[in-house]
Amino acid sequence: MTFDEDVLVARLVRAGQADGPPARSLQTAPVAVAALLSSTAAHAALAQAGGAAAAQVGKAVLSPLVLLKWVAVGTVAGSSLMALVHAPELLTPKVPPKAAYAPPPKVVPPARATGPLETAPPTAVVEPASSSSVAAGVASTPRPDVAREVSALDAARHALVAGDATEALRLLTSLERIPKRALVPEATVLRARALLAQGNAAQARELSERFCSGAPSSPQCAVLRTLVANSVIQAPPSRL
Amino acid sequence: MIALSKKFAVDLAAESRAKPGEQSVTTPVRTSVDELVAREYAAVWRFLRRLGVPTTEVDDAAQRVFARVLGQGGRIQAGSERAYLMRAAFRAALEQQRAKQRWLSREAAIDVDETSSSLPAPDQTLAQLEDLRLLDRALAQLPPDLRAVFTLSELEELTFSEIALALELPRGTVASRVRRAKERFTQAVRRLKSKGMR
Repeated sequence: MTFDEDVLVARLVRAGQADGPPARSLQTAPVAVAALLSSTAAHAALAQAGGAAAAQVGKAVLSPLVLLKWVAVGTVAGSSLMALVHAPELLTPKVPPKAAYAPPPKVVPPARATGPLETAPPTAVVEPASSSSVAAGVASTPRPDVAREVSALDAARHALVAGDATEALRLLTSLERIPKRALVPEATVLRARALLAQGNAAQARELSERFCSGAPSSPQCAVLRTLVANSVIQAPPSRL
Repeated sequence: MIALSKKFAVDLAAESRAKPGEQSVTTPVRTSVDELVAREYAAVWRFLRRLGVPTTEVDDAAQRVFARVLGQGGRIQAGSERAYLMRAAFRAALEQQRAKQRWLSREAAIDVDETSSSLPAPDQTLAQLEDLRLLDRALAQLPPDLRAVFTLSELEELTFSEIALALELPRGTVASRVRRAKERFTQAVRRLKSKGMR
């Protein structure tokens, strides 16, 4: 190999190392991966649950998850679906299966982008369960509004992936009407993403700090800090 | 250990890098899927691109790789996440090749719009795109195993142990393949240059 070839090969290697996904891909990848994971996890949970009721829930909820990755529920939906499957109260005929896709109530967004529930002390943080505990069924307490939360979070996530951060924030604000919410941490992460997508890093940082002051060891706190600290992720997409 | 939890947290054993086959010491640390994706997505994306996955398909492919690895719920030693992801990426590329007979057998098409966002300066864009084009053309002339070895070794700078884990090869085999891949790559570049490509 001649000197010139050496130089050229080294240059090509550097070009390959400098290549990388566009900012848009980096921003949407976590959402898309979480959506893929949620559909996989929900399928597994349903397979274990079995029964006609589970089949009903699966028919109503899972098919769209599988078919529409970018419209899918993302991180929160999978966990919540598992909770739905394992909650006996939700599997009875009292709750129509389509409740999971009931549209969130339309409400007027508040003047401030950060809503009170997302910034409230995260006492409702649900500690992540291990896979075995998920498989064994973790929903010991019935949460009748989980379906509404999942639905609203789905819609917000979809809006965010589609590039409509304002609509995502509006949908997240609509969540605040739901009492005794179980998915406040997930909504907080999504709100931070939406704020960052709007270029509003200051509010996202404030939201992150407020959340982490109440739950510094939670996984969502780590995610929020990463989002705020990572300039690549927090940069708005270059092209939409 | 990676275990899919209710909130998709990932349990990673907090240990120093372990050699393939060694048991990990399990001091669980919570690492979210978001963090793992943020940390490793670019590397997986680049690897798939160098394996010839077209720009239009590379994001979907990379996302499936992460979902596959994280969804397995199997054991992944801390510090070896990238190797496991590369293994899944290589398998995915091979599967796709069998299905379509085109991924690894053709060079990756360079899309100016797709790559420009990661390039540093406008005056360097064209030159770097030309280099990327030549790189992919040269890589396309290597068989899949050497292509993967060269990419992981030279571009991603994985250690021989990590490449061994990723490609499920003995470390000695990795060393000889890296050497062979470098030779073949240089020959390919020489041929392309002699044919008039800059």
